[in-house]
Amino acid sequence: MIRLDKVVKKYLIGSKELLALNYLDLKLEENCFVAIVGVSGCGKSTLLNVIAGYDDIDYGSYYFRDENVNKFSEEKKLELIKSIGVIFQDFNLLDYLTVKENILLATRYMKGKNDLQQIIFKLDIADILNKYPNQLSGGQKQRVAIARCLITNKKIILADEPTGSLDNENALKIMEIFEKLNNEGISIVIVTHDINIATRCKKIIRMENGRVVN
Amino acid sequence: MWLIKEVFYQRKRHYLTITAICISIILVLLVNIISGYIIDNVNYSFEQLGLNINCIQLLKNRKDNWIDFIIEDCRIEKYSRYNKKQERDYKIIGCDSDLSQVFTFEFESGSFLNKTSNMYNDNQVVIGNKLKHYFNCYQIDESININGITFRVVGILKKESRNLYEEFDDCIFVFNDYVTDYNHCGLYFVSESRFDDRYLNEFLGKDNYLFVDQSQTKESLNSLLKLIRNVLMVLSFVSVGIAIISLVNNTLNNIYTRMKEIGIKKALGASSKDIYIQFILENMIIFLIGILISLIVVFSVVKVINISLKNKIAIDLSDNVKYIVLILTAGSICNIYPAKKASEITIIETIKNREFS
Repeated sequence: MIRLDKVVKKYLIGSKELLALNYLDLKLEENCFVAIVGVSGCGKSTLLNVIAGYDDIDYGSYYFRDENVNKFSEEKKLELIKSIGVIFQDFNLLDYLTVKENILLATRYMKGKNDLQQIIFKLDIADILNKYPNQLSGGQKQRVAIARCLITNKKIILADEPTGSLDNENALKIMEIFEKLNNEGISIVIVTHDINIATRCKKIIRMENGRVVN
Repeated sequence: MWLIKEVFYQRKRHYLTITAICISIILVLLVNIISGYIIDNVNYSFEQLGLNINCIQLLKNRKDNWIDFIIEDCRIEKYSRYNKKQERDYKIIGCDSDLSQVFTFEFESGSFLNKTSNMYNDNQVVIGNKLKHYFNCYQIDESININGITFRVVGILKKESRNLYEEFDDCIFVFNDYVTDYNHCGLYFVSESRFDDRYLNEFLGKDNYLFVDQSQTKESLNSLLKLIRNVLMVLSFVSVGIAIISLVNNTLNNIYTRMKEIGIKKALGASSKDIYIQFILENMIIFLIGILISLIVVFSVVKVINISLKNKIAIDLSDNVKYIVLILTAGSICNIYPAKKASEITIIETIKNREFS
C-alpha cells in the first residue's frame, strides 16, 4: 500500500543541513497496525508528514497504492491528503465549532460521508456533540479527532503521538478504539515514544537517525 | 452559517473594521444624498422664482432716461422699473403695476391693480406680511400713514414672499414717484436669451451699475455647490480607502493568527482555492454587514433630518447603489492579495510554525 525507497528529507537550520530522513526504506501493507518508535529527533514525525502528503521528499521514491507520489500533480496530491486521516497529539480541533461541526468539517471538502450516528455510537461521543472543544477532556477530544477521520471513510489513519497528552486510562481507551478500527479493515500507523503503546500494535518499526533500524 | 461563525469567532478586530467601513459608507451616502438635495433645491428655487428674470441696478446717480434707452436699444418687451429706499423699519419700493407681470406675487388678500383698473391711483400700496402688524392693518382698503402721507392698502402679500433679490415681508410697494433715492433705482426685465452686458458697459460705464443674470447666478452657484460636493465625495472616498486598508491589514494579520485553522482545513482536504474563497467571502460578509448597518443609519438620519424640513429629502436608491457596488468591488479587489497569501500557506508551514502540531 505504502512504499518508500531510499527517501531523503533535508531541512536547513540556519546554514546547517539536517538529514531528517536518511535513505529510508519502508513498506506498509494493507490493514497494517504499526507503531513507529524512536527517540526525539529521529525523523518519526517527518516520516509521518511525508506519508500524509504534507511534505515533499528531496530524494528517493514514495509509492502510494503503486503510484509514484513524486510525480503527483497538485490535484492528485490533494486526493492523497484526503485519503489519509491524521491524528495529532494536540487534537487540532477548531475551538469555535461544536464537536458535531468539527466532525462534519471534513465533509465540506470531501465527497462521501459515513453514517454519523454509527461513528458517534462507536466512539461513545453522543453526549458531547453540542459541546465546544474547551469543554472536553483530552480523551474526549482525541475521540472527536478520530471521529473526524472516520466521517470521510478514511482507510489509513496516521497518528502522531495520539496518547501523548492523555492519562493512562484514556490512552488505553484510544488504543482499544484503534484496535477495533484495525479489525474493521483500517490501516493504523502510530508514531510514539511510549513502548507500552507500541506493544499494543501488530508491528513495531524502530527508527534511528532518519533510518529504519528494526 | 459556519462562515458567519468563522467571521465572528474571537475576532474583535472585525468589529473595528466594520465600524470603519460603516463610517466611511455613511459619509459617502450622506454627502451624496444631502449635497444632491441642496443642489436640487437651489435649482428648484431658481426655477420657481424665474430663471429668465434679470436685473440692472444703477449705482451712480443719472439724470437721463437711461431705462427707456436700454429698453428701446435692447428691444426689451417685459420689464418693470423700480426705485428702492430703506427706511428705519421697512423698505419702500417704488414701482409700476408692470412689476406683477415680471414676478409672480402671492397675496394673502387683494392684488396689484392695473393701470387700466378704475380703482388705480397713485396713493395705493401693497405691503409685506410683517408690516400688517407694524401698521395695524389686517385687511385691504384700510389706510396707512407713511411719512405723513396717507395710502390705501390694495394688497397684503403672503408670509415669506420673496423674489431672487429680496424678501418682501418688510417691503411696501408704492405706485408712484414717491421714492426719490435714485441711487437705488433699477430695472427688472425678462430676457429669454442670455443678455449681452457689453452694451451696458458702454452705455452706463463699467462701475456704475450692477447686473444680475439669473441663469448665470444659478450656474455659478451650481458649479460652486458641485465643487464642494466633489471635494466632500473625494474626502469620503479617502475614508473608504482607509477602511479598506484597515480590512486588508486585519486580514493579513489574521492569516498568521489563523494558521492553525488553515492547517487543519488543508489537512482535512481543503484546497488552496477553498481557503482563498473562504477569505474572500469572509471579507465580503464584513463589507455587507458594514453596508447594511450604514444603510440603516443613513435612512434613520435622513428620517430625523426630514422632521425639520419642509421639502423632504428623498433617497434615490439607484443613485446610491452604484457607490455601494463600487465600495464593495474595491474592497473585494483589495482583499485578493491577503486571501491569496492565506491560500498559499502549506500544511507543513503551519506545522513548522508550531501553530498546527
